[in-house]
Parts: sequence; C-alpha cells; structure tokens
Amino acid sequence: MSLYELDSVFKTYHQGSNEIAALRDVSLRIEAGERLSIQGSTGGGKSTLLQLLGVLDSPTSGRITFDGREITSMSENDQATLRAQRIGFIFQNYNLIPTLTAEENVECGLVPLEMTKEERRDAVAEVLASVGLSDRAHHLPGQLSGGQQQRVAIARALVKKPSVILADEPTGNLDEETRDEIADLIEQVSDEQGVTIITVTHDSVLAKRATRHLTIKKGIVTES
Amino acid sequence: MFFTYLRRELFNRKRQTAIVSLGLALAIAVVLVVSSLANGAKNAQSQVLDSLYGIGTDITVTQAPTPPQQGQGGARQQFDVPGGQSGAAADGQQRQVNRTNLRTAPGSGTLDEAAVATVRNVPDVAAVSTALKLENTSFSGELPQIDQGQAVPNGQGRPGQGATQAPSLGSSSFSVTSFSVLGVEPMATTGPLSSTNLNSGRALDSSDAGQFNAVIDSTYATSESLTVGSTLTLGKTDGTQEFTIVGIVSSATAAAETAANVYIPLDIAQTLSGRTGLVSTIYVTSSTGSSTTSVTDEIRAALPNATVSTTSDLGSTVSGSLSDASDLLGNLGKWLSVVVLALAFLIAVLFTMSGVGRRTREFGTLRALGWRKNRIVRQVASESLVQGIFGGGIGLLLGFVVVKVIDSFAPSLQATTGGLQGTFGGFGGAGGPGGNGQAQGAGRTGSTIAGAAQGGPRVPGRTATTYQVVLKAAMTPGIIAIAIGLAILGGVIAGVFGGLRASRLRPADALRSVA
Repeated sequence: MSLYELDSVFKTYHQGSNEIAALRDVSLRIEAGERLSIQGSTGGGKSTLLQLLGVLDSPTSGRITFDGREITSMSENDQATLRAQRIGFIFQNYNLIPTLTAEENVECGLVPLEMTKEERRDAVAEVLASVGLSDRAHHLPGQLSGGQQQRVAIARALVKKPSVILADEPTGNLDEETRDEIADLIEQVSDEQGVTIITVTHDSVLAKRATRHLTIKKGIVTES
Repeated sequence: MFFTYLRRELFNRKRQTAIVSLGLALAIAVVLVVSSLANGAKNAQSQVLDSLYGIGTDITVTQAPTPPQQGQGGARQQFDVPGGQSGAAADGQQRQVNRTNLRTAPGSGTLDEAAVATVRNVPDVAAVSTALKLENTSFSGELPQIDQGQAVPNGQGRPGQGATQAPSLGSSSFSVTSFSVLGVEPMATTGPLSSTNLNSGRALDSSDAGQFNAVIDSTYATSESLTVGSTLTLGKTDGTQEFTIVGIVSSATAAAETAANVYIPLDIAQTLSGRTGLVSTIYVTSSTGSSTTSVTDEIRAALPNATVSTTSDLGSTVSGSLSDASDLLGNLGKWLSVVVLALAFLIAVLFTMSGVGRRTREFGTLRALGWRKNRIVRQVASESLVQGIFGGGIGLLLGFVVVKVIDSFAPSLQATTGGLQGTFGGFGGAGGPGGNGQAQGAGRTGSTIAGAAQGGPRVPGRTATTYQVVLKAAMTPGIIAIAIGLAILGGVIAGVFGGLRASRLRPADALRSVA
C-alpha cells in the first residue's frame, strides 16, 4: 500500500467568472520513505498539489488516500488530527510565530497531541539538539538568522515524528551554504527516520538531491 | 502552552493591547463616573425626601383638602374675636387682639382611622405610621373697631391665593407668627422623625402619649432661642396649651431642616386641633422593594380618593440644581456612556479583527500543524477577554480617581421641595379688614409677619423649601460589578468577532501567500 494514492484528481479555482484549472487529472502513487521533488513554473499547480497532499485543501474531483485512508471524505477535525500526527510542513518563509521562542514554536507542533508538558519539553529539547539549536532555544525568531529559523521550522516538523514532510521552497530564502546545510539535514532525517520528503522547489540543485522527480506544468504532472 | 501563547501575544503586541485596553478603560471610567454621580444625585434626593418623609418610607398616603363650597372661604385663617368687640371702625378706636390657633396645615386634608386600618391590612405592608400636620399661628396686635353693619365679607381666598385683595377698612398694627407642628406616633419606626438625629434631650417615646411634651427642630430652636426644658405655647380649640421641650433634633441628612418645627404626640395634636381620630399622612413601608408596586396598587384600590405616592413620585417633587444634575446624569450621562461604550466596543472589535487579519499566516500555519479551529478561536477570544479585563481594571482605577477628584470639590447643589405636602400657597386672602397688606413669604421655619400693613393681614404664603445638598458620588459594588462586566463583555464581543474571522480562515487560503 502506497503512502499516497491520487486518482484522477482535478482542482479548479474561480476568479470572478473565470475558471482556472490548477490540477488536471492527476494520478500518482508516492511510497513511504521516498524523497520526491516537484518542480514547475510559477502558477503551474505545484503548491496546489502540495496543499492537497497536506490535507489543507480538497480536490474538486478525484480521490486521494493517505496510508489507505480516504482523506477527501474526512471530517475537518479528522483532517486536523491527521495533520497533527502524520504530516510535517516546512515553509519558504519559515512561518514561525514571531512572539514565541524557538522552543515554544517547536512545541506548537505537539500541542494538538495528547502529551504531558514534561513529554513535550523533552521532545522539544531532543529535536532542537538534533538540528543544532539547543543554545538558541529561548530566542525569538527575530533574534535568529534565516538558516536558524528554518532549522527551527524543521525541528517543528520533525518533533511529532511524522510520516511525511511537505517542504515548500525550504531553501528559497537562504544562501547556498545554508541551503546545503538544510538540504543535508532533511536528507539525514529522511535516512534516519524513514520519513517521506516531498519538496516543491525552483532550485535545481535541491531538486537533484531527491530520489524521484516530478514536473508540473499547467496542472499536469509528469514524471521526469 | 495556552497561557504562554496568550501572555506572549498580549505583551509582544503591546500597541494593540494598549489601544484596545485603554479604549475600554476610558469607556468603563465614563460609565463608572456617570453611574456613581447619578447614584450620588439619587442618594441626595433620597436624603432630601428622607428628611421629609422619613427613612424607609416607601409610600405616603395623603388626602387632598376638601374643596371649599361656593361662598365659603376655604381654609382661610380665622381668628375669633370676642363678642361685642366686632363692629364698624370708629375713628380712633382700636382694640387689642391676641389669639393662637392650632389648625390643620393649609393644603392638607385628613384621613380617618378607617383609612389607616385599611392601609395596615394591605398585604406586604411591613410598617405604618401616621402624622397630623398642623400649623400653629399666633396673631397679636391692634385692630380697628368694626361696625357690625359693615361686617367684612367672608374670605374669598383659598389656599394658594395669597394675593387676594382685601378691602381697606382702616389702619392696624399687628404681628402674625406661625410655625409647623407635626403630631407623630412616638417610637414610630417610619415617618419624619425616623430621619432625625437627637441633638440634645430625648426623643419622644411611648410614655409621652397624652403628655404635653414636644421635640423641636434645631434650626427652629436656634431661631427662637429655645432649649430642652423651655416651654412652648401652642393653640388649641379653646385657648392655649404650654408644652415642655424634651428634645432637640436635626436632620440626619445633609438637608438643613427636619420635616417640621415642632413634634408633639399624635393624640395630643388631634385633641388640641379638634381632629380626633384624624391624620394627614400615612407613612408606609412595604415588606420588600419589589412589593412596593403591588402595595401601592392595593392602597389606591382601597382608598380611591386618597393620594398615594411612591418614592419615585415624591422624587419628582424635588427640583432645583440637584434635580437638573440628576436629569443631566440620567439622560445625557446615560447616552454618553452608551456612545462611549459602543465606540470602545467598536474599537476593540476592529482592532481584534484587524489583528486576526495580520495573523492570517500564523493561524494558517497552526491549522497546518493540526490545531483545531476551536483551539484557535479560543486563543483569539481569550486574548480579547484579557484585554477587556485589563481595560476594566484600568477603567476602574481611572474612574475611582475621577470620582475622588469630584468628591474633593464637593459640588453643592440646591434641592427645592414643596414642603410638607407639595407647594403651598398662602392661607388665602383675608376677608377681614383690608389694606395693602404686604405678605412676606416664609420658609418652612416659623414665620412672622410684621404688622406694618395699613390694614388687615395677608397670612404668608408657604413657599417651597430649598436645601443645600453636597453631591457625593456613590460608587457601589453593584456599579463596579456592572463596569467590570461591561469591560469583559467588550472583550468577549471583540473575541467573538475575531474568533469568527479566525475560524473562517481555510488553512490553504491562509497559507496561499506563502505557497
């Protein structure tokens, strides 16, 4: 059984009287432990695909299953639970809560789970150590560099020990050296924990580090 | 995490927290100050009314005076002249007249024992006391001899018509002195004496029934140089009666005077004035505040011809700057509070919604992390609620300071009442020997008319009484609770709007700008 199965998925948006097809008849299988890159031009539909895979949005038609479970028919709360337990996100702009410290941001990833405060604190300390930010635990995002902020975001995605990490341009705002550090970190997590990594990127260097490559153009996905 | 997130949001977004909290604080302060002043004005009015009607009196029952029949002079003051001395004025002939009358106060009707019993039997009546309002008037001076063939027409005047012209029949020299006398039930827990303080001597008690003992008002005592142990002469149906002053009382409130100049036992008052078994006012205390309306209705139904007044009815008889201030606080103050509150709520709602708008990505991220919609709504609503509580606390402090500042100025207001029973006019035009008598208005304290007139007296009009009352803001726990409640309500309303906006954010839309 594949981790993801997409069958004839369509996603259309309406802008006024115009109908925009973001995804057209996408059928796809993604296996657990894969490192997948998705490339394509702006507006091609790659972010839409990532949101459907992250259970943040629903397809206009078609069927998506996650670990054998039909996610398109799930209730809102069940979708939230699935995201909380199995799916980690990494964003281009890090999306850290600016008023919370690094460790509190990481803890946000554990809040929906039924864990005690001590369990959360231990898990946060462990994951911050794994991304090399133990000494920055009490810093606010504004007091951290871009690379450090992205490490916090990775720690937040990892802390719940997810099945899959969806990364949207994870190195888009970083210099080359930091990009490589982040890419190494993601690969290390994938190798050590067997986490599936799905990365949307414009960066060919980052894309080449994936084990499988998809290209999306005008809503149509092709394997490359 | 909930409290950590809450604390961080409130303290790291200081501008929004400060604006929302201060907006609510200002509104709460306005509500507090206006409500406290309005409450203070109400208390001041109550003080004035208490001095007239007694503390705890919920209802008064009076009887309008019987209208005079055609051809009668009504309640005019009349001094009987010994037979043989009346007649036409003879040149150069004068006669000395000294008379004292104790009669029912002008403008005051009477109720009989049956009426009192009826009131006592009304359900939910906790206490009843009665009083007989009298006016003691002394006439002393010389009048011209009047020929019987030119008898003075019976007085045309009526109470309230002190300006009635009387025919000029010659010169005279006299003085008229009057003061108010209240026959009261000794030891009554309601009624005018319940709102007095004993300055010296003792109060009337049950042993004074049937005794010629009196308690007098301190202002009257001062003006007449009377002390405990002095004697006081009152009129009666057939002469005069001396009373021993056993105590001096003053108003327990800020009002300057008590309800009458002299208080005597009710049974004595009835006997001396020839009003046996009659009273002019029944003071009623209902068992609970909520039963006052039903008691009032019952009494009105049982005594359809009587005037039944509640404290609010009596309050409307208080006029002057106190009344103006009360009206201002009650009307303009209320609307000012409503407008300021509405603005504060609007500011809180707009800032909260704007804050949610700015935090769209943040909430989208939290949804992506698996936070349920309810958790985010609760977080936003809690932030607004705490801002409301901050606002309430600051507003409470601000309002308290403003109230203290106002109290330190101790603004003095005037309250004008109509005296014992509304505003009385004069005793009516004297039908007696006329002239261009100049009536001199007198307050509720005893009055004296100098007999400087070229002719007969026009007994003074009984003018309204003016009290100087210090307006003191009254911030009660109830007002404080309402103010804090409003602040919390403001926070809740802002939180509901902000939370609703946050709940409507779809995670994909919230993150779209990122993806």
